[in-house]
Amino acid sequence: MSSAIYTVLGTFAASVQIIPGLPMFYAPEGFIVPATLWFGFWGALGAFFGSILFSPFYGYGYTVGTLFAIVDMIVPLVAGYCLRKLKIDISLRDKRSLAYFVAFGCVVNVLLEALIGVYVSYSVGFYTLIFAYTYGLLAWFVGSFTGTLVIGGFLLRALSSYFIRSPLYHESLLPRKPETGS
Amino acid sequence: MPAYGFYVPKDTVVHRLHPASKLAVSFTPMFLAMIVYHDLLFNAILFIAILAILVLARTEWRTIRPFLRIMATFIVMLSISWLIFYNKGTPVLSFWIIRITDIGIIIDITTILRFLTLLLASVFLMIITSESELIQGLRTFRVPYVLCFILMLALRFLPTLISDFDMVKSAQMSRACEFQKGRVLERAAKNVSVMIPLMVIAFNRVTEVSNALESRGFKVSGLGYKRASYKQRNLELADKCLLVSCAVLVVAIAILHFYFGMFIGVTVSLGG
Repeated sequence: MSSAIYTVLGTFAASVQIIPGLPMFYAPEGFIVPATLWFGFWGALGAFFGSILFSPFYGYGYTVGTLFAIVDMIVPLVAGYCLRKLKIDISLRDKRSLAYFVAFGCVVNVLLEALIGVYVSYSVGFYTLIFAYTYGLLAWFVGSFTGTLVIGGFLLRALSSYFIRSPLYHESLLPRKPETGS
Repeated sequence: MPAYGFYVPKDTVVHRLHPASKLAVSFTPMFLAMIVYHDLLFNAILFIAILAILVLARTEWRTIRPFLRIMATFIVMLSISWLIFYNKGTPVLSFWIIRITDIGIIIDITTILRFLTLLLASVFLMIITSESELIQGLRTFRVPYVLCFILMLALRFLPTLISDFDMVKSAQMSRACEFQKGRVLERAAKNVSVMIPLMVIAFNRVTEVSNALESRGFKVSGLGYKRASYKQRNLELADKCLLVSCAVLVVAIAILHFYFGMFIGVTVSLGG
């Protein structure tokens, strides 16, 4: 499900690109962070498959798309790991949770992804090194940060209580081994 | 919004291939374009080859047109990046702080051809392969069933989700939600009004699917289970030859490029 939603949102985001591969407002990332907090690693996996599936709509093929798919998993995985370790309230009801969400769910993870992502862009020949680490980095960070902060924050506040009650909810990032009866 | 289902069944040589061969034919030019970066001649040949394959598959112009439209904006940005931000080589044109060089132009054209090849090869794969064939092809290459199953579910969900997205968006627009107006953050916030119902709808569908799978005793392969396909297609001799040829071609080009320094391109020999 997360792969499909990520693909749909990514395809729509492709229509507002400011630099090739970098939309002005990257909505899928805003979805995948809450999805990782709700469904654990399986939610983050959506970013991988979603990125590959919508790669032709961004003007590059599946091979380059696979590289970006790996990069796109940085945001949900870093956010999922850090926010779970910090034991935040995923409904973002208190200031501490909100502050940690902004720091590790919107800034640190997105910056890390942008730094690696623009290097990948440079290495596959999208941009020159100067262009990648100036306009490329800025555009990537702004697009992803806006998407994660606005969409992610709203989704966590609005839907966390709904998904916590669902059978697909994961309390940890990695799926735990099922308990075996003695 | 382009729908994801581009596959049109046709009776062509390419369509009759085994799914694994289709994957190989599509991915070979992609791998080659990824291996050889700045060789103009090589990338031009590769581009012509992918065009020939598209003609062989009787691809209609209207199918690839939306992708070429995306590519047009992409080409503009690639050109800005390579023509303006790459200063090595002999200046051809210079004004103010901008200095367009011969090497910059060559790299720009080569990069455009490379990305056109990558894009058209991906479009080619989308056109000639149905969802089930894609999974069958991946299974032939021993891709774990869990990953194939996730991919298959994502592909199956896409058309439904796209129609759900349109439905929810239309419903919100009928409630006077203007998605195209406002600043970036305002527009972003408006998207939430689509995403919340969309996620609830999608989640309900997922719950239904998972319940249906569980009630049918579905288990992924591994742990003593081996999954079989309803329609099993074996590799024919022609498919095997094609697969071996593709593998040999990719390996040969990689060896020639990385070990023997071939297809380095005019840029490096000019000192760029």
